[in-house]
Amino acid sequence: MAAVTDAKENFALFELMATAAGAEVYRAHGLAAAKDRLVTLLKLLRPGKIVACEGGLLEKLALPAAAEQIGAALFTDRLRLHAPAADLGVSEMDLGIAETGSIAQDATDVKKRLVSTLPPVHLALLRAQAIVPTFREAILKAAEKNGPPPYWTVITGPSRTADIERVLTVGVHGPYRLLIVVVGEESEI
Amino acid sequence: MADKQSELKQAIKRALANKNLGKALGRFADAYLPARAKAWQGKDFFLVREEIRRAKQKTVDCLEELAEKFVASATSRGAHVFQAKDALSACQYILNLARDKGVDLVIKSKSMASEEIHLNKYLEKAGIAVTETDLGEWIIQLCGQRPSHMVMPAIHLTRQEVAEIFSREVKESLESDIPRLVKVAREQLRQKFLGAQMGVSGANVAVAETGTIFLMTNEGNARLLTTLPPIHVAIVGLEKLVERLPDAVPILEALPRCATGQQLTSYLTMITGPTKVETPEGETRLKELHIVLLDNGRRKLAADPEFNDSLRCIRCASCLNVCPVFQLLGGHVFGHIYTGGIGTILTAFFGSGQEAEDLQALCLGCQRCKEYCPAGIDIPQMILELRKRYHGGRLLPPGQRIFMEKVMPNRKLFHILLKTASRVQKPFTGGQPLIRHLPLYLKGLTEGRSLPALAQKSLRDSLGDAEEFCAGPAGQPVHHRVGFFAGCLVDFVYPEIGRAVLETLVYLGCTPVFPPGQNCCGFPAEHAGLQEAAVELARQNIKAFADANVSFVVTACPTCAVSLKKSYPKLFADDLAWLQKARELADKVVDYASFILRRLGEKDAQPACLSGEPVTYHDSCHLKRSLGVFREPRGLLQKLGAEIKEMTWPDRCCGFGGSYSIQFPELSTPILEQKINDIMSTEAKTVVTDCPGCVLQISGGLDYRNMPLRVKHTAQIVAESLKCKK
Ligand code: SF4
Ligand code: SF4
Repeated sequence: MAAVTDAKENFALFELMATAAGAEVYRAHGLAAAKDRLVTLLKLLRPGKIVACEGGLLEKLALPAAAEQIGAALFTDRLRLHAPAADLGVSEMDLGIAETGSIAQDATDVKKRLVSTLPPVHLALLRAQAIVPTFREAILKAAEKNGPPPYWTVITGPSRTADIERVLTVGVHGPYRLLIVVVGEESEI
Repeated sequence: MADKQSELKQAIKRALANKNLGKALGRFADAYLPARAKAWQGKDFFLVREEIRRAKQKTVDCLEELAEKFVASATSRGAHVFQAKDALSACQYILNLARDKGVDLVIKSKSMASEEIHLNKYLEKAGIAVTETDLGEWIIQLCGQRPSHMVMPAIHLTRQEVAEIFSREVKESLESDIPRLVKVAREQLRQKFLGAQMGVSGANVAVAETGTIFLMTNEGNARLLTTLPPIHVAIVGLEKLVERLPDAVPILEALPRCATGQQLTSYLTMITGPTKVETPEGETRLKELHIVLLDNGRRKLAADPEFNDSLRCIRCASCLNVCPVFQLLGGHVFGHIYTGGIGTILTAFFGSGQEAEDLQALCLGCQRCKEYCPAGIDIPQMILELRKRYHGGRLLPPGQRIFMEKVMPNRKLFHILLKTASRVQKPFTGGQPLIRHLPLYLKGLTEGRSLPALAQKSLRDSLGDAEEFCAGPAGQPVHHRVGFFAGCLVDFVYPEIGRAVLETLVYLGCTPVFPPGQNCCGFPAEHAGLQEAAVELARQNIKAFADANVSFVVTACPTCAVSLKKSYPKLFADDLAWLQKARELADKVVDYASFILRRLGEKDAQPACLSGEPVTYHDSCHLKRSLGVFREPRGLLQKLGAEIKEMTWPDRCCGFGGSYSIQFPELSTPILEQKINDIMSTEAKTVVTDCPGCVLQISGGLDYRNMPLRVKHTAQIVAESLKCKK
């Protein structure tokens, strides 16, 4: 029972901190709900061109069908060519960090970076179970198997700057919007 | 050298005249502390600071070992590591690499190390284009200026100026709408990201054991730069190394919290060896990762015990953000590449170091930076050390130097001069009260504040021959003999404060003792870099109090307290016999407020005579930050029945800084101005402080502005209150 409450608290903190950092957090109870959420979000975002990394949750959420439904072109290959002109990048992340509202990923595969850096909007999928309480835990977890992976990345909210008159402005070099869909059971989120 | 001094003065003048800069830095300073406090919520700053201190101390102590480990591990993960002994060899390596690979466009993310080695200039001279991609740095690059802040390089420019700069670049007239300007930058720089063949970055931390480097950015430029071009060069100062991965964690936790008040930057990248890049044609290949491990003075710094703490610096700029001088001047004047107090120290070691020689004078010694430094670096102490090394004394006007070196250590001569001065000052000042002969506050400083006259009768003269002021019955236990160290200001300018101290000590059943052999504490001489004069003065005072047979030495001047308690033992570090005596004195020294509060606690009677009078309390820098005393005076005032109306930032420096206000009145005055505004906002009618220097500065400032507030030393308030009780 305690574990369930912990998971909920973890998520609550994650949602709070991620939102404070400027991300948009959506929860989906189960895969079916996640599928619906994806379609709803795509309808709202209306991207003409989507780039995505295949595998994991994305496989299960039938992104190609969703893209087709809204009439968007979807690319999962040759991303260096397609990502610069894409309107949306979609990928799954490995970890969430409650304390900072961040999402993290072994991004050794360059595709993962291309979809999350170049398009103006990044839609990230995250399993509720992958949310760890602290930054410290996340970093040590990332390195626990064979030491640190070649490229590990943590994202906290959209790309931002305050370099002109200290006015916060989003979307400098990376996405100006970060949407995080957290998929989990009702007992978790 | 006179030229260099006047150059500095000119630069100060220009910075002060730049209203944008002042406003931007002021606004930032106001927003910084609350944002930072919020970011630290739920994290223990002191714990993290201790972790950083420990991790980085290892770096300082085992620099060679860590460097070796890093080279081995990074190489085994597939990176090329080049150890650059200086700026030139680092630049050459990068240029050769660029030439070899046919690079014609290099993109850069923010890297202080690359600025330190002047990489851009070097590459550009060789015909290779370099584009900064951090927005602030790009703005600076386009307008050909220098960064004015370590974290916010373009903080001194307005949106209008940025619009003009961008308009020239894109050859189109842009409006000064910030989101629009950011968008223009995105579009322009995106082309560069996609076209560049080499990306150059710095690193926030590097891990010896794993060969890992960390990059933190908010804009995402480092992420693009390490993803798109086929070559990545990271310039890593040796001091960025930590031994193990967990050692990096506290640094990554502290950096964004301290730098920008964020829990984490938008992007954190941890790179260990090269990854693949993809070409637009869809080919993938392994990219080249080159790490330039930069010495350029760092090994020398690591070997210098007085300064090597500075290698713990994580470049968070907290120390700039809270520095009253930096707030006025920004990094163009106060700093070189690395700015502010810490920048001055680093500048002294990295590269030629010449600039630091003048810059050290700008630190007012308020100690504020040290309180906020997440690496626990005692910046003002190092600046003082630097001043000694450069023998800062020679930067003083000759009259003042002779006075400190020759006159002050000769107590009799010093006092005769002062006595004469107090008699003759009237005709010279033409009715305007002005101190002319005290070493601390010389000549012609009336801009922004009035100065009090030397007292007609100094404390020591008014005491006549008496040295002891016995109150109670004869034969009191010896521990009630309390030495009183007056210090120059109390002795010669504010004897009334001294009398209040004596009276209250007597009231509380002590026998105050005033050894006439006491002299100036030596702080001004030490801070001017005049070591020998300081040592001589310390000897005189140690002797005077050793002979007086007292159990405590109370002083009403926190600067004197710091000198007696903290500096003396350091001054005699190599002289065991005197060190022993210095320690004996140091152990006895107590500041006035703490001593009285303790004594009042012993006495059960609680004098409560101020009947809720609202007062506001100003923390003197030395009392609060060097001695850690700030609760005691407040507790004392409250015990006496005063209601304390706190001003915003009661511990912000008043700008006095001893001889600082003589050397840089143009800086001292605006700092005082802020203090006066803080005070006025409380609507209290009395300002209380424990430092006669602050009394001088603040009462001078209030008087100059015709503000009818009283400024009192705590001792005077205690004396008043006790009298009303009688
Ligand atoms: S001691 Fe004060 S004036 Fe000197 S660098 Fe630190 S904050 Fe600035
Ligand atoms: S000296 Fe301390 S406060 Fe200043 S930049 Fe370095 S770590 Fe930060």
